[in-house]
Amino acid sequence: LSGAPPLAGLRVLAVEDEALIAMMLELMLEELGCNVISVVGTIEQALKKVETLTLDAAVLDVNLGGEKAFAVADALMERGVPFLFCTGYSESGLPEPYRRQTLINKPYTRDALGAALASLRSSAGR
Amino acid sequence: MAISSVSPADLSRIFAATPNPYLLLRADPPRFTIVAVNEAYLRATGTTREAMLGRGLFEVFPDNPEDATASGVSDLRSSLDRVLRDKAPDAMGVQKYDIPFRDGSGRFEVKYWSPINTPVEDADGQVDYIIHRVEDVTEFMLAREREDAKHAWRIETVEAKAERMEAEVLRGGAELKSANRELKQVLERLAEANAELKEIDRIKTDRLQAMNDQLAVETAERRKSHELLQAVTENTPAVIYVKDLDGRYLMLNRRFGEIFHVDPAAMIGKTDYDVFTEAQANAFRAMDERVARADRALTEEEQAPQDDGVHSYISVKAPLRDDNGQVHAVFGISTDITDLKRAQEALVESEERARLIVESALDAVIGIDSSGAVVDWSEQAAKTFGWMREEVLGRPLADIIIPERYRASHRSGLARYLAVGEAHVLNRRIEISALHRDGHEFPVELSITAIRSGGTVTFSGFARDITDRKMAEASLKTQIERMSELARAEAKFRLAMEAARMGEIIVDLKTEGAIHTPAFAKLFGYPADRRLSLAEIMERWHPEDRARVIAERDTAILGGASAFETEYRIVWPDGTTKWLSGRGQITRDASGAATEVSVIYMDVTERKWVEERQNLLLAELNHRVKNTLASIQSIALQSRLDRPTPEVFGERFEARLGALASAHDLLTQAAWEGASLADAVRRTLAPHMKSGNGADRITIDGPAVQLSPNAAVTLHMALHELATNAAKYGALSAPHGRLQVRWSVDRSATPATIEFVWTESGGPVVQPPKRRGFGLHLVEKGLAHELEGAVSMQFEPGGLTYQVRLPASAKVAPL
Repeated sequence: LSGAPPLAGLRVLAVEDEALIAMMLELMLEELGCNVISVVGTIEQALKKVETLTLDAAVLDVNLGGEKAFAVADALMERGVPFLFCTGYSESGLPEPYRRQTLINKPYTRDALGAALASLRSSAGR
Repeated sequence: MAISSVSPADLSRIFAATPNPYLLLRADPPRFTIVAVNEAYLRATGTTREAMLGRGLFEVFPDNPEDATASGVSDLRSSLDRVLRDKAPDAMGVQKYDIPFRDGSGRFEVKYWSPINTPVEDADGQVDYIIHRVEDVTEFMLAREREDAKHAWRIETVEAKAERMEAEVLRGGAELKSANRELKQVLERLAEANAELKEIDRIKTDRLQAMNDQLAVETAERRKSHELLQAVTENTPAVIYVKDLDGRYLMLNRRFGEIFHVDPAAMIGKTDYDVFTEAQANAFRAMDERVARADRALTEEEQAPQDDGVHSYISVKAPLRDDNGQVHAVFGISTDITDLKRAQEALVESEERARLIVESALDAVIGIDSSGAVVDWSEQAAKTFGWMREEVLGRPLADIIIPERYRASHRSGLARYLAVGEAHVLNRRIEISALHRDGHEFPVELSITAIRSGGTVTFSGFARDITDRKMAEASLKTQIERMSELARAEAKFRLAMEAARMGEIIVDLKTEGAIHTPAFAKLFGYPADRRLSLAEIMERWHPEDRARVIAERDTAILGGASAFETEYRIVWPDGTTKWLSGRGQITRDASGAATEVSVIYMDVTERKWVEERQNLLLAELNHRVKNTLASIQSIALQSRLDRPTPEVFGERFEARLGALASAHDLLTQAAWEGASLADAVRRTLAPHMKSGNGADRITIDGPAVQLSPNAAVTLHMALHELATNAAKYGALSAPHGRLQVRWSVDRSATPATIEFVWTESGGPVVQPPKRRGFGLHLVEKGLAHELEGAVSMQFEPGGLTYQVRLPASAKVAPL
């Protein structure tokens, strides 16, 4: 590994409802050097975290227990927190305002997750 | 007057001395030359005789040019003219007639006169002189004009004479004048009346004369025409008669008598029933009555029996009216048309024969005699039937060209005709099968004519091979059948369309008029008998699809396509949304412009719903598969966390995959709607309950709690970890170990809380784990994360106790 992880210290909120996947996501984020601030599985919890925590980025599962997580996406956008979607659906499943959002498909690898976060970070830094 | 004793000289003297003023004028208008004047006149006018004699009256006494109203000359002249015309005296009444002063000053003296002019006729009654007598009434008139009372009084008293004179003169003059005028008017009227009377008389006379002449001519003509009519009636070959309304003969002509052998005179008063058979008489009577009823002339054909058979007549019958206009008789003329009819029939017959000959020109001509033997065989016959003339002459026709099965009827027909003259096949065209020399049968059209001559009968047959025509007919028949099959197919198609709830519409693009089938109306949510306009139809288009439908349609119509397909939503009048699928055809004119569009629509709402559902399911499946893969990925990743040997990793990984699969099986059983907590627990523990150590080691107990699919998977996986742990290291690893799984619902909390307790006992002494592997991780964090549960684990030496409090939610719902 060359030097410090590129995403070191990045404060990340993980939103994923399926426990098995949430656990893996948390693990991957930690391995990427991120500071996983919180892992939540419902829209209400996620909205609360977005409102109360200082975040550098968020990873957002589109489908939270059968509900679409667009309210969380709106809150993140409003607060200027860059985020990426991860989903089991195809890209065309997203409605218009979110089509240009960074998206990774399940199942994803740690590297794919890292690259997506890095792209968020670089575009947010500009 | 006895003046004969007075000499002319005396007369002159007497005239000159007459006390009233007189002038004698020559009747030479317009001059009226003064030929004599008496002293009184000279005095009254202050004129000399020399100034007057030989001069014209109006030369001497012109009008006063100072007096614009002077009418003396014209009045006097009118009076003189009247005298000349009427040869009667004319009194003028008081007349202002100023006289020139004789001093040569040219001035005039005001004068009023009462003149009277009297004609003097010569021996021939011609007026040659007029006596002009005047009276000077100037003094009186001026006095009146002045209206001076004193003066008037003076006149009253002093000039009483003048007063009388006034009355006399005024009355006399005026009366005379008006009487004169009236008399003249009466005379004129009388003369006119007389003339009129004379004219009327003349006209009357002329007219009477003319009428007389006319009458004479008419009488002569009538007599002549009556004679003529008589002659015609008696000599015409037509039968003429008049019958009253009861059918009694009032008149009949000689011809009638001749034909029906009756005496015309004796027939009068008799009826048809006295001469003809009842049936015949009835027929005549019937027409007579029809004519009387119709009240107009009718023309009909009638039959009457005569010596040489029944004759045909054209009868024209007309009603006769009496003076009151009432029909009282029927007049008839019947013309014998028997010969004409015969001639006509003969003509028709000969035309028919000629036609047959013409038509048969290319036919095979075959002649047979009464025995049926061939006597004639034309070139064409040889070609048609394959036999040469020499080969068939004298042989029975039946043996040559008539197929076996018809021969008997041919012979019997021939015999019947010869015996009783009856024939079924003569003089008409029949189609029949004929036999060719080579043995094949073919259809022929045949006409046979019998020719009688001198007691013998021969038959001429004209035959034509109609194989080609038959084939054409057959092909036509096939075509017609095919067309009717097509029609049937179309009807079937329509039925199928109705059955499949397909509706058709045709839109005329020029008029935008639309016609459609009843099913079409039903497709749009209307009763079948409703006729929809294009606008009404378009109104039903779904607002979200409208723009697309219009764009598609325009592209198809303007783009030159001949067919198109479309699929869109409509909204029924009751608000229901339906999907329609249409296939259209575009009709174009020579220039390529679209003129008509016809579209067949089908309700595909159900299909669309299924499609949508399918898409949804596919997306869901995709999502689930991806998530499952991610879950497997997670299991694999975390199974490595406690750094197992490859063998151990493989074993654990497989076991966990099995648990995941088992959770999916559970969900699949309930159509992935979820699972019950009890099922999840039992399923997890089933492998351990089957073991020989007895199922009573494990107790499962709790109320019904429904889990969402995700919660079921997570819980299932967690329970799997707990069970695996128990089987390896805990209660289930020892023969007398026990496991209790219980849960209860605390409904007093808000939200209600599910209390889940996993209690192990009787197993080996428990030691807290040195490392936290995937299993523990999942049991602790997984449930806490996904179900927001509060987890507590006690690794007591007697056994593990695992407790979790789950708030009731959509994921975990107590029933």
